[in-house]
Amino acid sequence: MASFPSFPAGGRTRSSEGGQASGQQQQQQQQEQQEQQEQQSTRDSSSSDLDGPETVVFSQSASLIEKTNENNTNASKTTGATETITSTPNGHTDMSDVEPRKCWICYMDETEDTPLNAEWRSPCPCALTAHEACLLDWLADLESPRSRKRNGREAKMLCPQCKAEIVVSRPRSYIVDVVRALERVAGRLVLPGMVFTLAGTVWAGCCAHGVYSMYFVFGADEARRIFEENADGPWSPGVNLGLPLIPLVLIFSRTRYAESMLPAIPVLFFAIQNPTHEPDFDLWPPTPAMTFAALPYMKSFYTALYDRFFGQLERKWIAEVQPRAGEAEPDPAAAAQQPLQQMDLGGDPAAAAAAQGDNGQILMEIDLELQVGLGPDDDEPPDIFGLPGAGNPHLPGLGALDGQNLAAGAGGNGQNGQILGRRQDQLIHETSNLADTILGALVFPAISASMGGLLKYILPKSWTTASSLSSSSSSSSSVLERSRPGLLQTRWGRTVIGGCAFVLLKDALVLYCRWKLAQTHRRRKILNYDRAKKQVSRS
Amino acid sequence: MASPQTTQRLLRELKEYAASPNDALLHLGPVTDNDLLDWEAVLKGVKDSPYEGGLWALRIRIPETYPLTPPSIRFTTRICHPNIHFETGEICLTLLTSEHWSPVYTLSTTLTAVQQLLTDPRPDSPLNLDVANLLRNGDVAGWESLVRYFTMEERWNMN
Repeated sequence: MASFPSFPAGGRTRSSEGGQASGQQQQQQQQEQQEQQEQQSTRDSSSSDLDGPETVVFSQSASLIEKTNENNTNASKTTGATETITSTPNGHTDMSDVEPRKCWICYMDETEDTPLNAEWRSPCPCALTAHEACLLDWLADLESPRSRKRNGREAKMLCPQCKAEIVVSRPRSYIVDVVRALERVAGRLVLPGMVFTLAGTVWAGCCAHGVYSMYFVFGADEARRIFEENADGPWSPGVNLGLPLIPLVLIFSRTRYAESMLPAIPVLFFAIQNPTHEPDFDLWPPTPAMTFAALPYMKSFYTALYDRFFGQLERKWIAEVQPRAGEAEPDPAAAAQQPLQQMDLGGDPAAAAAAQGDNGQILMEIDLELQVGLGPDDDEPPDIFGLPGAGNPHLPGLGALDGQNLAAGAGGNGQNGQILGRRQDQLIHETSNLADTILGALVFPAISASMGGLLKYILPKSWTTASSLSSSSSSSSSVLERSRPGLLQTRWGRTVIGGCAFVLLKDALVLYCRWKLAQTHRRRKILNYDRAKKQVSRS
Repeated sequence: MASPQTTQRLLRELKEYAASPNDALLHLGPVTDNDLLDWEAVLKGVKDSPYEGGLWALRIRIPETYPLTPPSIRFTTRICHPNIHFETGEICLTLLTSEHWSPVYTLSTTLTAVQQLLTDPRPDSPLNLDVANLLRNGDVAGWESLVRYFTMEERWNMN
């Protein structure tokens, strides 16, 4: 029985030559405890089948040492000692390496045992022994919810010296076990559950946004019809995956990564084309699917055009309002002339590359017109709205100019992404920008729809409600046999064009503001303080 | 007041220390006779280390659940050591945390561990960044001279 290595101050301190001041008191204690011990040892030997013979022998021999020590110093209480000696058949003769067992928790040794605290346990391979009550106290502390939370998991009782697990047997209750297991599982599922819930919330939000977008763009009846067509069975991928994708794609289309997706669109387009319908290659009037598939191309096309014709101008205007940047700039009149010159320049390459140039020119005209229309005092939106529609004949079929106009208009749609496109060099560098982009993307269907609604009121009735006329004419003439209504006659068509118009409008407004700011920049001056009138003099 | 188990254990530790004093300590015991949960100690510097010859006073607050929970120990004499806060005297030692503490440690052995920490600094979890940086940058000579200076400058003296 060796004292454990980390304890230089082992258990041998119970000898009576310990402390001077406390010595007497100690001895008194010892005497009392010895009396208890004697009772104890007899009880131990009677219940030796419980504790095992070794411990009994040991406790007796321990008390023997204790008493022989006492004998040497005090020469009192010798009766008990002789008793125990005789009752120890094969006691250790070498008494120097035998010490009383000491509880490593309360640091009492067994000579101080009280009847309440007399059960000894040696639960691990090493030499540590302890009172059962102390061990159970420790176990209770380890298992308390507070320390379990601290350690994050079920505490295991390990011997602090040899790290062997201290095994506890306890009556098992299946209900308690099951509840414990459930608690553990629930604890483990908290994080995944949160993630799942969050994802579900986002998904539901996206779904709702998709549904509203559909209603906005197609109108209530058409949207309901589309949903019903797609809703085959309780879980249709078209509705459950397609709808949440709408806001995601809207946001995605505003990043620069969307451009690299362009070549994939035709593939996607034909992949999702319903095979039961025979493919419809009539280009005009476009089907909804065609139109929406074409929008990204128009967007990037418009982006390129805008950059080519206005990019430099805009950069110049922005540079002009920077501190000390205005000197080298042309005077305001020249700046006002600039767009016209630019347009002429734009017209020249257009002669070389016909279609593209034409588009560019039309676009220029529209933008210029918008700018002029907005320029004085923001008065006549009808005219501006009339412009994209002006080249758009209500009857389908003669679509050359119309197509170009649509291209310009729909390219305008792409321009919302292009706004970002101009900021794109630093992609998205601020949170407010990020929020701007996302919000703008999400709100865009609603804006487009309201612009489309506005278009319906502004445009002549015959353009927007020509479906009856066209259907009657198509029934009469086989040449113009078209079941599909014209672009402006459908709600979604008006929405698309309305969206394009909005983007053009916004773009023009931004450009105008840039130009105006640049212009006013050089007319600024600081006002002097007039000391006579005691106020700032406005001259 | 503390539970009888705690009181008994502390009394026992006190006696044990009286019987076999710890070489690392100059003094260990309760501050007053009234409060057994408030101890003080004086730690000695290890020989052949920069801390040689130093003496530091420590204050030990013992929780009522002792020995199931660790005591909180801090230096009241200022000491220059990467894992000990120079002003507050807080000690960064895993032994003193709840999850690594075990009832098998006594106040005396815990203070031995604190003394071992002096010769075995861990600059990776520092409380005194300046000293830790010296060690991390390999400036052992600078560290030693700084430690020697503070060890003598701040040395605890009996009063």
